[in-house]
Amino acid sequence: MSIAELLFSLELGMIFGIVAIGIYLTFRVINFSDLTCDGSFVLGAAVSSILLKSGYNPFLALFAAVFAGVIAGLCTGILNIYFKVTAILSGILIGFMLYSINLKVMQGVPNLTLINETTIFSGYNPLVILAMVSLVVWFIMSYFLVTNFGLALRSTGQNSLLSTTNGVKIEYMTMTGLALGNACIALGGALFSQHQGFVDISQGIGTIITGLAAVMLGEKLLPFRSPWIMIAACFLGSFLYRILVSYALHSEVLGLSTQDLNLITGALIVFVMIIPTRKIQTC
Amino acid sequence: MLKLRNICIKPVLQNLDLELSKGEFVVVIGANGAGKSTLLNIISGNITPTHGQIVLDDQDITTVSAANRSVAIAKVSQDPKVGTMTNMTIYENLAFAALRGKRRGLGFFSRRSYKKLFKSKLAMLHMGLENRLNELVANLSGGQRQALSLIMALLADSKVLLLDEITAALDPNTAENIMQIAAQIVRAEQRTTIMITHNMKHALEYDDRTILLANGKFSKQFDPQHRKQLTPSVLATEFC
Amino acid sequence: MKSILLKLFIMLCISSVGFAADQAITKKVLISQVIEHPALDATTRGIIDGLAKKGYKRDVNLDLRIESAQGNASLAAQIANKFAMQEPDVVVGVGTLAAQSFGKYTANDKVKLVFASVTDPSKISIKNTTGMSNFVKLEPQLQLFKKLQPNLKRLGILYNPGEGNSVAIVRQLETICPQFNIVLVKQAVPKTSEVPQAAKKLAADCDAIFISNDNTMLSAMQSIVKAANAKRIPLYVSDTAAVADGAVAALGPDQYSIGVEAGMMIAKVLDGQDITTIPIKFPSKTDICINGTAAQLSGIKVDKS
Repeated sequence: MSIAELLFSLELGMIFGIVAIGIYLTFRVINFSDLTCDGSFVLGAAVSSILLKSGYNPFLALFAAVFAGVIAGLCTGILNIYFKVTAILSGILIGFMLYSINLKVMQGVPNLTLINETTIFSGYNPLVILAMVSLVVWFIMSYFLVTNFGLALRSTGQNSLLSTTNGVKIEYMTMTGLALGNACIALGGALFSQHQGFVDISQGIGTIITGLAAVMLGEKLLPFRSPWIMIAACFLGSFLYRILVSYALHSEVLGLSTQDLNLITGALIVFVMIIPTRKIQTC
Repeated sequence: MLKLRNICIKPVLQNLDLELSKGEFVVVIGANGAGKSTLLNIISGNITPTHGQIVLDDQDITTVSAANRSVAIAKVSQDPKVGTMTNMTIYENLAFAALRGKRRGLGFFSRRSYKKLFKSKLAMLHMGLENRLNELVANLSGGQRQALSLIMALLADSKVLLLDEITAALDPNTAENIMQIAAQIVRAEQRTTIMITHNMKHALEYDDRTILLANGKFSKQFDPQHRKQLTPSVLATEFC
Repeated sequence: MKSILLKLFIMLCISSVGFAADQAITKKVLISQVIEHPALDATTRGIIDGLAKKGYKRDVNLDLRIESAQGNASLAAQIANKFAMQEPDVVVGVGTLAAQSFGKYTANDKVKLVFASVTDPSKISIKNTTGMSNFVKLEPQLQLFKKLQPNLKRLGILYNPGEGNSVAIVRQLETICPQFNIVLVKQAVPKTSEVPQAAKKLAADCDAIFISNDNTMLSAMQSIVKAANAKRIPLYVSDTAAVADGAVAALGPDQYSIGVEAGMMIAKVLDGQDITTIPIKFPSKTDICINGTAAQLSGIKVDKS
């Protein structure tokens, strides 16, 4: 692996680190197994791409993607809270329906190219731009979790009964968590499509796996409780995941072939996970 | 201050009435399944009665949700794990409980003023918890967690305090300790309290009056005047 | 313990720099395939054989590597990045997603890209790029169908709306079919598992079913053949290799020969020809392939002319 590959892993690590933050918010903070992610990842990319092709400012396109992610998250929340559908099924249903909605947003074309459009990366080093965006996201999300509101949000995922008896409205918190989580995932999707220069309807498949792997790897590497560190851990875990994939891609040296890629990546992840660590420390 | 009128919920409670004046400490006793916990759940809002009215300070709160009632009515339950957040620190638990009923905004939850307040509250327990603010609740014993739930329940200025067998899961020494602390604080702060207990000794020692819940109603009341004749064993026989 | 983990992590990063060395003597061709699929596998095989025909034999004077992105866009991105950093002579993208992932590197002159099996080349950036499209003109195909089936009025098309190639073809057919007095009946099927039902429904509503080069439909070929046979209507495809599986007729190249032609284009670049002088090619050699038994089943008379 060359330095260039390492830097590329860093770039992808940051993009998917933002996605991992979204997964962290839903799966860990509010304890909601949200499977909308495969759909909202593409939704963010689709919205951003369509706006880029219509000539809008690329940063505006990012904001629009975030907004779209919020809506997607709220839909899952509405299904779960008001129509009493179980958490997992709500996410699956919305993610499923988003496939058709995403195609509609892309005006029926499952693959859009952005080669001739101005993206947020045009003319700048993508590493710098991504670092700036990641820093902003890290700051906003960590700050949010160290406020009183953030504490109440965390309590929802910890002990919902105690939360209620302390005056916290669980429905409101669940909606907020889902909205924020999917906003991050959609932002990640938009960044990915602008970075790669195209959006494909299938690019969301597997988001939940890479996201969860990143979150868990991050928790292993930085088992601290401070929200500032937990959010940073999402980036680190995502970066480590990309490095592991990069390593697996070089496995031909060991005589393994391209079909063994998943096996090798999985094995590497398992290896990292089974290394014992200390119990979670206090902040 | 707190009035319950004609509370019915099948199959346990029928036409139940209760009245509490400010600062009163009432103990409810009764056999298992008599409906004591159900009664407390109705008052806290977790269960809705089929009939009846709950009036708090001349305000009908029968239809108010549990979350909205939580400011006025604080509850400590018997399971220490339910009353505290396991994966948060003592400080975080208290900071969380302190804002009960108040708007949870975007200010930092970590504050020096809070730390001082919590330390003084925890000092009342004489358990040394005030020096362990940054420790995870998971590392505390059952008794310590129960004491913490008590402080958490008392943090906001609630009008009514409900204690649901708070010492049931504790060993005799810790139970005694917790009960003493609870009674002390309740007396000192003049909190209106309803307590459920199976411990007859506690019932007689700490209350203003003890009521027996049987057959869905309050069947007997034991006033302070007749206290002298009562012993725990006599009280226990009332159950049959 | 966590500190040990962190140290391990840092070691991983450092040791990773300066990995496998380069062999400057042989030519290096790196192939990224979007997903494992019989049609695309055939194309890749064709590429290797095409290169061999032009004197570039694998492991003799050609360093050739193949990676599959498993349909995953971020994996395609990492593969493209890895390949670009290995200073290849040519990179190959088999499939639209794979070809697109090289976009950044062709744009800043890092690699030369030859693509294969891309139906709509406009999706790939032009700089430093050439390739072999698998788009078959639709008019000759419709002519063939009409010849075989003079009373063809309603042509049903089964396609995956998630495959760009198919969507492009459907759109074109919508404009062309009226010229042939054919009514196009569209049936979108997003998943392989839904194909049997969709095929049955469509077979009841049209005189013939067409599935072009749609990968999802090709992988569920047998269910469609069954549905078509049940209603005694013919099944037309654009891939001649699929005719043996039960389709009645196809007018087109097969995926293997597309690969061979792509391989020959790559050889030209390896020989030193300027990539800008090599135009993107569309399949010129098309065969008519007809399955006699299948034809009989659907009542089509095959005229040897």
